[in-house]
Amino acid sequence: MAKKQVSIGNEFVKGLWDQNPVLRALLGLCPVLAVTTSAVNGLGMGLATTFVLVCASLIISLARKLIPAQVRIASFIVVIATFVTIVDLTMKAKFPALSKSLGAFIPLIVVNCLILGRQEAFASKNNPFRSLVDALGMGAGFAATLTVLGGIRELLGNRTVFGVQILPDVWEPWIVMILPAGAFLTLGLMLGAANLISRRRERIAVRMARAAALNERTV
Amino acid sequence: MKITLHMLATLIVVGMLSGGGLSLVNDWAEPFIEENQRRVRDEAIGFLVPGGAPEQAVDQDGLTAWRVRGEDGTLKGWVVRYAGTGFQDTIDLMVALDPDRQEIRGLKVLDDSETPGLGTWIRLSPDHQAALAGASDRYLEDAVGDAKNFPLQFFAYDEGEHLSAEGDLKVVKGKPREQLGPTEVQSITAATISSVAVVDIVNEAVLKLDTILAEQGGA
Amino acid sequence: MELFGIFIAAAVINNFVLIQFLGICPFVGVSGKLSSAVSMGMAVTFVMTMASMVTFLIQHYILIPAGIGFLQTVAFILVIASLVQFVEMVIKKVSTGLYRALGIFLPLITTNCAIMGLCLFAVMKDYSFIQTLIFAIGAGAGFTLALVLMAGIREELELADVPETLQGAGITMIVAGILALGFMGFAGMKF
Repeated sequence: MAKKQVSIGNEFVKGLWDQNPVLRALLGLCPVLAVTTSAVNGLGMGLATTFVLVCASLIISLARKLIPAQVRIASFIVVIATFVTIVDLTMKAKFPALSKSLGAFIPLIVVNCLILGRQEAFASKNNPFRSLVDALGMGAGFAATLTVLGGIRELLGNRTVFGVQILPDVWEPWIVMILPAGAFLTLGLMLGAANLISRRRERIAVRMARAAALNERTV
Repeated sequence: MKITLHMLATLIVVGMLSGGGLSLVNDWAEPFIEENQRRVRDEAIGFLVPGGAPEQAVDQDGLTAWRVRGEDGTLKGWVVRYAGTGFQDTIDLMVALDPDRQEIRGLKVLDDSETPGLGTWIRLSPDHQAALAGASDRYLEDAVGDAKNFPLQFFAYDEGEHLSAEGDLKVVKGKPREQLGPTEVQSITAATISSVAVVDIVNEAVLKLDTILAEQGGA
Repeated sequence: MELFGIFIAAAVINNFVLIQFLGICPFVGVSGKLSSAVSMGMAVTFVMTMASMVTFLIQHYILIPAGIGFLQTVAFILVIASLVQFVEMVIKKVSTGLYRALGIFLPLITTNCAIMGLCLFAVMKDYSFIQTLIFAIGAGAGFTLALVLMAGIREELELADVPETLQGAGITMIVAGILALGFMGFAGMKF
């Protein structure tokens, strides 16, 4: 094994920030923008996507040696679509209100490039445990980003977060935030903020490395 | 040849597992989904014409209507479900009529994509529902004049005064309550198009119900 | 008139990209240059029209009669994926010019939620075959319009002094937000 093995912990953590599917890799943006009119919707969508991602990754990494390369993509799609339908039916049966507000975006999880992308790039090449951790990390990163985005839009557009009023009544709700335009603007600014933070972190890392090198020389 | 067989076998196995699994999940979920839809419908009818049991009278050309009868078999009213174009997308609503179909006795929007915070005032809020449930003659003092109370006008626009069910409703702006007639609906401020859309759908629904019932009676 | 209404609603009032957020990935990825935006738009419109027709037939002549509506998602995505492959092969055989123009965009279309979304919406809205067809063409036109508008603006943005952290996807989203504000003006049109 020439390839350096990443520790299991890192496999999980990378999805949260360094390879965050939304903020860093720009994957699966359609549901990110469409359903984040409130924190609850964002969280619901994030969890539904995570469930599909985790189940599909587990199955595909278990069956990775049985599936011939030529029909790889077709098999992945069927597996993903199956889990999407399971989520869709379960939500319609048990959470009708959430299912109604997420609407067609539940069946559309099937075309979320994040899920197919992880199967192709990770689950089909790694063992089930590693794939599971990777999927959980990516799903958590996705769900967290959606919840934050939904929370910001709900707070400014409706004064509430998770339905609890945060801003006082004197705050005139910015209705535009819950409209399509608000989704684009908020995500644009979040991408900018993410860039800013990661750039600052890089700069700090470089400075630390330089300081360490300097230390070594003086010692 | 061997590879082709392997490919075919993989696809068939994947397809069968997916289809079989989904049919199991569907068998489990279907009763719940039907139950949910029935509950939403029955709750809306029960709220619009309380104290009766609905029996479906019409289901034709996208219009559904129920006769609501009390325990002793007397006709307590009608509920008509109809949909039409709103500001952004379809508005799906239910209108309640008195037994003679002369007056409108209630309105409940079931589904819409109106602008949050403006057009969405066409919906009955939980507060409205609670207040109406306790009100005599379903008249609330502030039914006219506050944009947020738009749907209350369809229950009673003045004490004991109901809107006409002749299909001749029109939207007016900023008229004081004393001057309003039975064909005039006060518009939502900054959401005139949503208000007009609702009134159009209501007009079309009552006219269409008349036509269908006349045909049925004639045949 | 009703068909015209469906077309306009799909193209501008409920614009697939700017109002319904379908097909954002190609919108961000391929809107850098005007020429590729036009090609992508055409490829998507073409596949949308084909896919909507095929999924309509599958929904009404296979899934509903057989009582297996729950297989809708699986069936639709498979049909779209194979349709894209098929279209790619046909175009390659028939016209090299067209293949050169559209070819590289076709594989990207399989996981384009605009296509899948279109097929699901057409079924949800209970459209007839002709209505579905017009809906698909309208949605494709709207997609192309949004892509071309964005590409035009981004070509100009190349010369603008965008804050460093917002360069790339960030400023694209913000511009899209302003475009979406503009498209809100179409809401409420009636036919």
